[in-house]
Amino acid sequence: MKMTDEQLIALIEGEPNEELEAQLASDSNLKKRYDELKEVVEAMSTSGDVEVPFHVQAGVLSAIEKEKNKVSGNQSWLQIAAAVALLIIGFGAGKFSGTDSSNELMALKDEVQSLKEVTLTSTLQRYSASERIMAVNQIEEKGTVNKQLVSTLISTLNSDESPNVRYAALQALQKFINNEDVRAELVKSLEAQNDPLIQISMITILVEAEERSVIAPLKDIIEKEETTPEVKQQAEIAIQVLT
Amino acid sequence: MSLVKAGQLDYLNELFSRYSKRIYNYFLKSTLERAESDDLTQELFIRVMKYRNSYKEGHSVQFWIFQIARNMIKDHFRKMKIHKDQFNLVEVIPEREDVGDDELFEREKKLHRAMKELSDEKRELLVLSKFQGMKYEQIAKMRDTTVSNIKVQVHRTIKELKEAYFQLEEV
Repeated sequence: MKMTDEQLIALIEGEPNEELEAQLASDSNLKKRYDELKEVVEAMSTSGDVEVPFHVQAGVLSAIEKEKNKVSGNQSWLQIAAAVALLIIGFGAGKFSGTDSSNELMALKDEVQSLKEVTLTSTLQRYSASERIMAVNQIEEKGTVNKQLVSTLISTLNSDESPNVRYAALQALQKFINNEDVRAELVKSLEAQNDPLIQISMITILVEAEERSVIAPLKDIIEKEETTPEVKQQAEIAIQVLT
Repeated sequence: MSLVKAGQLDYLNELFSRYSKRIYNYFLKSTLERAESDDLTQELFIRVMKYRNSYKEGHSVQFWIFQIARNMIKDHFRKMKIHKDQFNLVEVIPEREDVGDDELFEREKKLHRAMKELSDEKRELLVLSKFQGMKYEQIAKMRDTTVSNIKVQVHRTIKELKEAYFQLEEV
């Protein structure tokens, strides 16, 4: 009896067909067709998955934060902006009052700068997750940071309750990866992280920076039972690249 | 999902980590376009968040999410038909390191080249049933048709894919 490809596929999919199975044992042409179809079906079912790119993950996480912010309707970031604006207005008023020496101008600029940094730091410590992300982004936009802000970012990365804020802090720290202290802090922080997205991002950043001191913590991560398979895989790849 | 619907948006992160890889690969293997799949994945989770109130309690979250994904991909294919010449199909296989041995890597490359020979709709059907391992019953429900109809379509498409796959070998 002539067997169709559809019948062969049904058998591959697990539908029992004794007659077809018996024919397969004796008909080499039929067996060849069966093997070819099986190869294609197996290739599909064992096909590997591509990892979601980080910028997609970050985009979604940031959209979630925006939505949360909308829901909570919190306005305190605006209050901070208003405080900075008041200081700038005060500075402008002082300028028009007559004492316009360049030293005073520099001093006032420093004051504004330092107020901004204190505001960012305090935002990271007190306000909602969305506002903390905005503060982290502000630090990132500054381009250069002082030790205090780096240490605030590290402490945010290690202890913030929101994974989205921790992720934003990591992205901000990536800008300063050429700094040896930042790399050392990231290696230390990796061991304390348990969110797969942050673990994978951190491993990628440290591998790109060719930071070999991360190999030992990576081995520990692979050993840990609670580490997800994706993170283990990323850690194994990282070790291969760095050794 | 019920918690997200109730306004606990922190659980969206969990939904994202549970479904993002499957959804991303569904888009990637159906469209064969990386940049479009990036955008579609991002847009899908924004829609999940925006339309969270349309989720019906007790229903399968996976089914609901894939239904949204399917509607998006249908729109995408429509757009493709209009601007087909503007799109370049790309290799969407994982990196060699992810696949393991060379033989598997080559097989995977060949499979994806053969997939390009299928129509968009047929490719998407195989992605759901074979790459994503979705049951015929679920696909039939999603496409609002019968299980036997889906089964026939899948089997015919596998046959077509097999022809394309082994023709590549001869080239």
